[in-house]
Amino acid sequence: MIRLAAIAALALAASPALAQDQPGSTVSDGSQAWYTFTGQLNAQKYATADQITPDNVSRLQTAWQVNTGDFSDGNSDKGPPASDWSATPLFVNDTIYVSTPFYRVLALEPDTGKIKWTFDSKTELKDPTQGELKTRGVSYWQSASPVAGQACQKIVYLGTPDGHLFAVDADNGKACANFGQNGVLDINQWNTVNPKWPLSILQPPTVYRNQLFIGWAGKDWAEAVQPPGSVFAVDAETGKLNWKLDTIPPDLDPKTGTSNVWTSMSIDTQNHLLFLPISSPSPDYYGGDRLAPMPLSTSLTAVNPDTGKVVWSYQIVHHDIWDYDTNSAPTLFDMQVNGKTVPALIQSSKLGYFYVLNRLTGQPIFPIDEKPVPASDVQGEQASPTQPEPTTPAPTVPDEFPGISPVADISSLGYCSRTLAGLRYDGRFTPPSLKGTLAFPATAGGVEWGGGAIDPVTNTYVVNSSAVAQIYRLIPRAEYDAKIKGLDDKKRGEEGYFAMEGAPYGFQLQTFLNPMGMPCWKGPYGTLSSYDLNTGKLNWREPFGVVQKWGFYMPDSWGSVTIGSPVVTKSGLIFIGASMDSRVRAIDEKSGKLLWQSLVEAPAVAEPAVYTYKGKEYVVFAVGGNSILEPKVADQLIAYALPG
Amino acid sequence: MPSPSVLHRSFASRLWGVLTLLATLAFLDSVFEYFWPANGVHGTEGALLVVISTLLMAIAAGIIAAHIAKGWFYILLEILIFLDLWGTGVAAYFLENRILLVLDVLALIVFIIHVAMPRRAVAVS
Repeated sequence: MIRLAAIAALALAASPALAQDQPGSTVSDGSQAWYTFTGQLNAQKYATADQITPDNVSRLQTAWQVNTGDFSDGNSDKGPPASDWSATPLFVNDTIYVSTPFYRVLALEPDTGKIKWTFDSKTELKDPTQGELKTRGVSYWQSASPVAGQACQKIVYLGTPDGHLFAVDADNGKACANFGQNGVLDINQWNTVNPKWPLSILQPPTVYRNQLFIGWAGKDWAEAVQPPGSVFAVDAETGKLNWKLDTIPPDLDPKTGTSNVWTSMSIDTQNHLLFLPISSPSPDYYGGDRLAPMPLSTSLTAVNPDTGKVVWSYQIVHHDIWDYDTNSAPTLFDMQVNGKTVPALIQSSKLGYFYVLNRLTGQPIFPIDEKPVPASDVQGEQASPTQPEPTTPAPTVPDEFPGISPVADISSLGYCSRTLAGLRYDGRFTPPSLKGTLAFPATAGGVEWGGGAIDPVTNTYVVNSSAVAQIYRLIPRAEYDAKIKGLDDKKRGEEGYFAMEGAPYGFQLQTFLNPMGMPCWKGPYGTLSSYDLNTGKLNWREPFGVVQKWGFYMPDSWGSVTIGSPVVTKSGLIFIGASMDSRVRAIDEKSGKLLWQSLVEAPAVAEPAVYTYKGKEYVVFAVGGNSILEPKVADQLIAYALPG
Repeated sequence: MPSPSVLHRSFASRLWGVLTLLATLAFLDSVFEYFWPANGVHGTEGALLVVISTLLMAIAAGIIAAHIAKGWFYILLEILIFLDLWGTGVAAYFLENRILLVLDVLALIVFIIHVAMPRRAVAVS
């Protein structure tokens, strides 16, 4: 018991922003719970478990696995659309909780994978906003002062794409009748401005004390005017609305929308701050009709969790016309500056930039320069003349386009070079254009919604990133309408047409590939990087993952586009799936070298969970795939542990 | 006492028999990899490609081993087998199929021994 207390104390000391006052942050033996989408409320994704080490990780083997049956490749005309499974499994209440893309919740034994109970929300298997069935997992709340024998003192929450939030008793999976209407809260009741579609709850709400903070996802690129971004804070037991934050000035509602929080949030429990990564406004690629300032759009914004009042906001892209959403929860940590401990955060981005800010004030800790950027040549558009560009830590995506891949160019008889010659490219932040703009980095990232992980003892920050070139083309409305005439939805999607209905331009988005599907730009296409956040310096960067095409594994030096994120353990290991080649890996935190890998059934695009149960450490991955990487889906939940 | 020419013909025939065996094993391995779901390449175009290439290799080597091919047809099969060996080897490398790669390299060694043999024209005649 003393040992457990010492471990817990060490963990708290090592992780200053850990939610020590958050019920559910530990399990019955006092060990660390993995109780949010990002492991902890501070989004450190740091596991205090240290049984699996760099020396023994090569012996890791499957402890248990479960196939849920809930997946779809979307190939059947009458069947459900394709599934994307990015759910972080939670380990809390001595149970593994995970949602499936068919909107069920499974509760499993942590050491065997045996199912304790299931809950089926009976949500129709259609997605009104995303086109695919997506879930990023569930949330967990438990009462700080539980009443013995009373139901729903511990609750698991499941969001659905039609805007419903289900609350079920964490002990038995039965609906919590006091929450919303018989256990279901319909957040569409607050969707009253431009209610074009339901507010999809793909990201599980953030839970802090007795509140849930709910963001939502919209239907990107379809219409110019959409529901305005809003965050709801509701009572965890009843679903009663406590406050609502609108991210767009109300007078702009007739012209725009979104600027929503579709990704996870983080909480500073010491300083009582909620951090909101806020996305770009609509229409995503043309801002000529929304030129008025929208300071919260594409920003990181800190609010008071009790009131929803903005404490500070830092806009990472001014007048965003590239869909550079702030797309992940900032990671909170403490650092030494001139001998003083400074409460800091690091915000990753699709741009590959990292913004290290004082989390109390939003002021940059490392310099961020406002630099001149290219002007728009599209009638009606006025791109921001400057953009903030952090130089420390160094971005994961190079500032300049890396050039045409000779292999892709030669094999396509010069297609890549010819295409590039016809595009506009003036470096970062080149605005979308009528002739076509080379966007590098593009909306596909950089760093996606998983964000990075930090070892708070050494302030080593680890992050996976992609380097993707895409072509942005604005098309005058009449011409756009003529182009899409006769194309069904599937064909439009394949050719990258997006209407932005209501804007003077439609839009075409294409990844810069040659006709054989090879990337036209030089790799690496994906990397894993480690930074020392005390100095902002890069420790190492390695190509990460492997591109797989037609079954063939491309050279390691190419790396892979990734979706998903790493976790870091106290023993100096990084666990990560994320890559296209359907492998999960353990990497040495110090050197970046591969120590272990295992083949799974699809790309493991979810963040893994690390936990200790009955004295044994487990690493569990939800393996489900994501069509952004490749059309390979699965329903595998797999846990690894050392033998014996 | 058999003549050197007969000995040579017998040895060449055995080499083709070994190559046929190796190609057949490679084919069986490729079929297994194509259908076995837990290998990362099952059902892919690349895995199917080596199923076909190893099958063709086994058939061609078998035809030569059975002394069916003569003259230009024999030479044509030799050239196709050589190309098949290289192509299958490259494919096996990028499919990360080590068993297939080993079988292919062994088959290539057998093929090179055959090519390097003196008076190989005997077999052609």
